[in-house]
Amino acid sequence: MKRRPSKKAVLITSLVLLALLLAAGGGYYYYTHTKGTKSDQQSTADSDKKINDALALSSEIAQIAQSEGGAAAQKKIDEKISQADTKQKQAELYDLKIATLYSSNDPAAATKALEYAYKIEEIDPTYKSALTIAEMERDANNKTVALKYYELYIARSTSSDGSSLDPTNKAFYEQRIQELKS
Amino acid sequence: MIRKVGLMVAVGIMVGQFVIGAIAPTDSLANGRGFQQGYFYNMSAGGVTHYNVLESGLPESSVGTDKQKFLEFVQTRLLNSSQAGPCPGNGCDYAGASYIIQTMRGGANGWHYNFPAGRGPDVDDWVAKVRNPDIGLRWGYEGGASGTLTSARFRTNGVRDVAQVSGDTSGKTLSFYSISTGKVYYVLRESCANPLGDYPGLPDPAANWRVSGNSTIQVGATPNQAAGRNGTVTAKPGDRINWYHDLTNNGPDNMDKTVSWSIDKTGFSNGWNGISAPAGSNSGTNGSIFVKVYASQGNAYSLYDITQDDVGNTVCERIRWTPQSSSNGATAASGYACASVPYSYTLTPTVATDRSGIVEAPASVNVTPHVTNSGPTKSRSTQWQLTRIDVVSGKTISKPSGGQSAAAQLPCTFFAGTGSVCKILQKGNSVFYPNGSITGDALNAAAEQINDLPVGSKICFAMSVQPVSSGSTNWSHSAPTCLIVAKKPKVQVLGGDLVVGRPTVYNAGKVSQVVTSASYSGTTSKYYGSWSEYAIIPSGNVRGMASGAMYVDGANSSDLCTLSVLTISNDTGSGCQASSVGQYAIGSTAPNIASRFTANSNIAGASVDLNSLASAHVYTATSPNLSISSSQPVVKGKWVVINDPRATVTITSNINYIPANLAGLGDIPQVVIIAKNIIIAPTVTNVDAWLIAAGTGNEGYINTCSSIAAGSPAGITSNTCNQQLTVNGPVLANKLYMYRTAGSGVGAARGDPAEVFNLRADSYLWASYYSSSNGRLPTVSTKDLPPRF
Repeated sequence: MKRRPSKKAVLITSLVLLALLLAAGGGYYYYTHTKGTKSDQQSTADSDKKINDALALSSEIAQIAQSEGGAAAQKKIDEKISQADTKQKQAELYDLKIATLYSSNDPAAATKALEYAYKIEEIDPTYKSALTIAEMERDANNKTVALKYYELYIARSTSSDGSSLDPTNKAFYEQRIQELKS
Repeated sequence: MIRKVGLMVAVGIMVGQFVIGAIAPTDSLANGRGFQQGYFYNMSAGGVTHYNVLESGLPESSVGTDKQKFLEFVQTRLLNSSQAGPCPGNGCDYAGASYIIQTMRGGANGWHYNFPAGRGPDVDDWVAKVRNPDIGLRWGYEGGASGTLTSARFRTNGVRDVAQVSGDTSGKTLSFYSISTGKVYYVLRESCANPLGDYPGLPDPAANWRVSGNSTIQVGATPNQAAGRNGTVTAKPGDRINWYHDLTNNGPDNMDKTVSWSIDKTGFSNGWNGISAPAGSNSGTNGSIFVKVYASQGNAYSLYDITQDDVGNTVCERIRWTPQSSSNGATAASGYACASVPYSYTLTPTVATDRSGIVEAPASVNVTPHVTNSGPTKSRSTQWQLTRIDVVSGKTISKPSGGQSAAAQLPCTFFAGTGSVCKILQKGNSVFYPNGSITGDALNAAAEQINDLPVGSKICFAMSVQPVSSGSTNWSHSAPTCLIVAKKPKVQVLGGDLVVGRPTVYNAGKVSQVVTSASYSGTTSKYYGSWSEYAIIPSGNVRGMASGAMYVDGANSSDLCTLSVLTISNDTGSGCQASSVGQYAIGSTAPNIASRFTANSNIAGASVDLNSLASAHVYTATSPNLSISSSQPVVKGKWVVINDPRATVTITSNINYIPANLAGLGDIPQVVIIAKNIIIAPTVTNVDAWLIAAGTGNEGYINTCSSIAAGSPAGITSNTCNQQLTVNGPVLANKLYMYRTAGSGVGAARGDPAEVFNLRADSYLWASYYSSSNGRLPTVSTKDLPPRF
């Protein structure tokens, strides 16, 4: 004989299911509004590691620069460059060398930095490397060269990985191109 | 059933939390939010468009490295925007400017997730941190140190926020860094004003303060800080030095850490140098004197009594502290507060001898040098010299009062003079103290020998020091202490005895001493003195005079027991005692010679030449003072008697009997002078006459040198009465003043007499002739004398 559930049991079961649905909905809302989408989470995992590694290295280099001087820090970066397995990593380390030149108040920072900037351009040309050269040449009052690289920067940013380029940021440098042309 | 459903809900919640935690590897980013999480609302920036933090970036041309321009640039964007404003437009920069302000403030005191008001505590704190003097601004290319970590403005669920995201860090950057350490605290990208990297934000500005120290010094028995002064004061031994040291916080802020301080000391002679006590660590509020090391507090190192050991030094103290200010970690110190203790003294050299005035050579003398320091300080190292200067007779020492000379003029040069010989007895280098103590070479007495030197020679001693005082380099020379070489005149009694104290018809007998001196010759190593050829018969003691001619060629001893071979002594039965030789009185009255010559003629006037008087006459004087001279020797067969016991006779020339062959007693010339007193002129060297002084009391004397008043010999010098006198004839007097100074030369001549009383046989023979011619020759006295071999 099949026993029919009582009205009381059905009511209780319905309330529990409702509570579970509300909890799941709340959890989903919290999840989506605090940590992004699941696809976002996956896409940033590699980026997180890369960022953390870069920050750890720059922190290490900064400490060396403070305790042992800029030359020691540059030497350390050079060691890392020799061990880098990709051109992209080498370019990033040259970028760190440029930063270290300035943070160490190296009196020859501008000259050396430009040299490294061209090195980056040589091994891993990107819109970033073009911008760096453009800015440095502008500092050196080499307007023609600067203009060339500013335009290269704009071109690269719109054709390849320029998707992340803020339109207003792009506008900042287009304005600079206009200034150089005028 | 209910329990099962509750468990399911709990498991579901736990699973959800685990998933959330597992997807946030960069949660440790500096701003306290996770990677790609909005700073103000903590919502994800994933899947939405990212924009510049400030819409038009942060152009270098707008702010440069000017802090004020930077502050105004950012604050203007905060003031001119709102969260609800349109973007593009006045809503774009609200979240970005707020983000820059709050993240630049850092998280040291907790992150500030609120939107700051355009003006208020949040902005004030941000402004203060940017204005921190230790924070510098630098344009460069430092994005490479941030990897791809940048910031971005985004919009979600109707609000605008800023999150740390991955993106472009290239291009020009503005860095905020510590000028003192080089550490980078914040980096902004020029084109977008995006804060880059994972920097901590600006530190709290350190408190701004500066410490000043002051050290003052005061001389006085009682501390009086108001009288303290900076720099150097002058002090002397016995002074008390008081120091006052303090540290002041000159602000403008209260001190946020302590300074270590100590007291430096230099120039001390008591071991304080190198002791840094007292010391401590203190801090103070703005404007406060937070360290006080005052003499008035009785601190041991703030009080110091100057001693002689400090003379020539400068004792100093100062306060030293570290750090000197909030921005300077170096050590600072106050100026030294010093007490200079200069030399201040004057030396006075003196010299003393254990003999003074006149000394008969040979003799030894102890010479004691002395130097007095009138202070108040000890002297510098001073060279000194004890000098002997021998000056020949007739010359005087140069510089008899001493004095000063230049440093180059040494004592012997200073005292040099004609006929002088200088000799250094002692010299050395010493430091003389006001209390009389000396360090260095001691000043010792010098035993000096004065050998046979002619009478009148001067032996002088002087003490000299250089430099004489703290203010001079001169020598100072004491007044020389001089001894004059003198002599002790001698007398010889020849041909007869010396009888003293015997009663006469004019004077009663008395106890009379025979006192003469003896001399030693260093040349002959013999003693010389007065002597009698025959006996000495004294009623009192004998001192120095030998009998039996024992000193005739000098003696090896001056002991009277060996020299009194013919001295009649009253032996007490204890053997010869040199101190009691003599004391043998003759009780019988001496013959009354005057009664034997009755006057039969007068001498008119106050002077007479014996040559003018008739022979065989007895004269009496008409003047109470009669001068007798003899222009010619008394001729053969002439005798003259001047018998006037009332007159004082002065013999003004030699009286000589003529040296001629005599055929009989009647040819013997003879002169007899009987007077109250008989005085002999200093030029007289020979008197051939009987000399009978018949006065009584203080009179009845014979004075052998009329230059000197009888009984007052003070004026005698070796230059007066310096001719030897010989009297050939009997001598009888109440008092015999022998004032001649002749003889007593050097070496064997030391025994040469000044006076010689010689009773020759012609007196006896003439007396026999005279008595026989007058009918009788009575015996008036008989005395048994000891035999002499």
